[in-house]
Amino acid sequence: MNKPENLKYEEMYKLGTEPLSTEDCVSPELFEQERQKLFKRAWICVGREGDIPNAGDHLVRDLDVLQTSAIVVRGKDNQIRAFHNVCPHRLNKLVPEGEGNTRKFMCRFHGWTFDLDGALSHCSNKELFTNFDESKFSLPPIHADLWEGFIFINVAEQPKENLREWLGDLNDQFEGYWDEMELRGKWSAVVNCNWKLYVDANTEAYHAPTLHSRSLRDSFASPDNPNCAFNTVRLFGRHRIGSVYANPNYQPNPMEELTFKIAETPLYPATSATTGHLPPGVNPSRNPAWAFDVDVVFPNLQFGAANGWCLVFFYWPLSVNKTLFEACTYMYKPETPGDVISQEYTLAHVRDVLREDMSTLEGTQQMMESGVLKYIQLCDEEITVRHNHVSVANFIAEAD
Amino acid sequence: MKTAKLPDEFSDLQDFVSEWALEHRADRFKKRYTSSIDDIRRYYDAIMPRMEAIVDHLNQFPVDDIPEASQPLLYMSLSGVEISRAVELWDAPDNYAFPAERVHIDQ
Repeated sequence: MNKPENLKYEEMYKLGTEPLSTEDCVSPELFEQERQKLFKRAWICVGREGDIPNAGDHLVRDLDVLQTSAIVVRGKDNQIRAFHNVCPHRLNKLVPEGEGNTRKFMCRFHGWTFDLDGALSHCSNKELFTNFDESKFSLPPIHADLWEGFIFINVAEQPKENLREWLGDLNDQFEGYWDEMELRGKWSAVVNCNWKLYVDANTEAYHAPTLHSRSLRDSFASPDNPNCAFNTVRLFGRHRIGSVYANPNYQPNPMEELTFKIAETPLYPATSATTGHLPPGVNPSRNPAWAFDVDVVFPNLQFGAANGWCLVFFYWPLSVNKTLFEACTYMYKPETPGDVISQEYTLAHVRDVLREDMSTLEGTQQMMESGVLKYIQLCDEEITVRHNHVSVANFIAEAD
Repeated sequence: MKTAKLPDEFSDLQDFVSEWALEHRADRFKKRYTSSIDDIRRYYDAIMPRMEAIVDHLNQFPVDDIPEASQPLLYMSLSGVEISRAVELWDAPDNYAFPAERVHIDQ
């Protein structure tokens, strides 16, 4: 539902109003708890089905936060499976890195070979092993499932919730949304900050009129909404959708205006948001003055969902104060060369706006670690930040 | 870099081909933040008034089958898009942001 005019999100969602401790961004002990009790029990997105479209296509994900490396592979039966990237013989890392296509996985150490479903298919001179039972030497499986084309894995031996249960009411919010889109751009960076600080920076809009004053000018603020208040914030258990306002009277700069004019596919910002065909979770308040949404699929997957394009962010914790950030942009397939040119504006512009968001992160981490001040102050428009930290803390508390 | 000859109607942009007809996004990004604002402005002033004509020209062709002679025009217009904000918004080759050289453009 939308927030009634005179009610605060804090009152609606009852997440508290007190300042938040910085402890969960600076404490190596709490980070280790997050690793063991959250990430190792969570459904974690590792890519899109379209990343491995054909039988034998696979990708390797080195996941520091899970203390493992995973192979995600499409089998001959078209099933997507995930395995720990280890040969059960002497525990060599089976596929060193990257992505590719293969009929079998062969360990380059002694040549043990595995089918795409993980079964051991060849071991040279197996008579040299005493009591060799090859059925015991399949690749160690990881639970894997799909949602709206996203591949999720869960390294728990027996996940408490399946993926549907994990997503809860978020399940039906995006039906078909990504079907027509394709990956149009990807970039990454390692940033010296806690992963939650990074999520925070990308999921509130209170900062937009200040931090982005030069790049976004008044596209997110107007006399009607000077602080870029959310159109709506909806919480779905541990997940969240925040819908970001756009100034309908924004005057684009010259190149931006040109790209709007020549585009066949929708661009950023969504100054002419047509919302009829969007699923319920995208622009949920159906406000025409809408730029895009900031959505978090708990804990570390984010969408910047707009009309006709979507950012997909992966936050990969490397340590308590180091995060690998991957930003993918999905868009409709360009229909004309003019489309390619107009989409390029969105791709370049959004990347550099995000670099402005990133510009605060290492300084904030540094000052949090100084310990001079131990609490952050949050206003009602930063409810998404509060929800991020509270959801992580609650999950860990309940895991005990 | 080999310098392709642009279609005759765009011969006014020929001098910019070797520097700005960059196929890859990573190269266009780097070209912007490593150029001086004066060089960027010189290119902007040349390409901006020609952008619509370039788009009209390229739109004669299917998106995945642009003839070789016209491909530099696509790359040059993409460079134009990349550098436009330096002129129109920042008056500098880069915005105040996370260091550009620490961003890895994968695709």
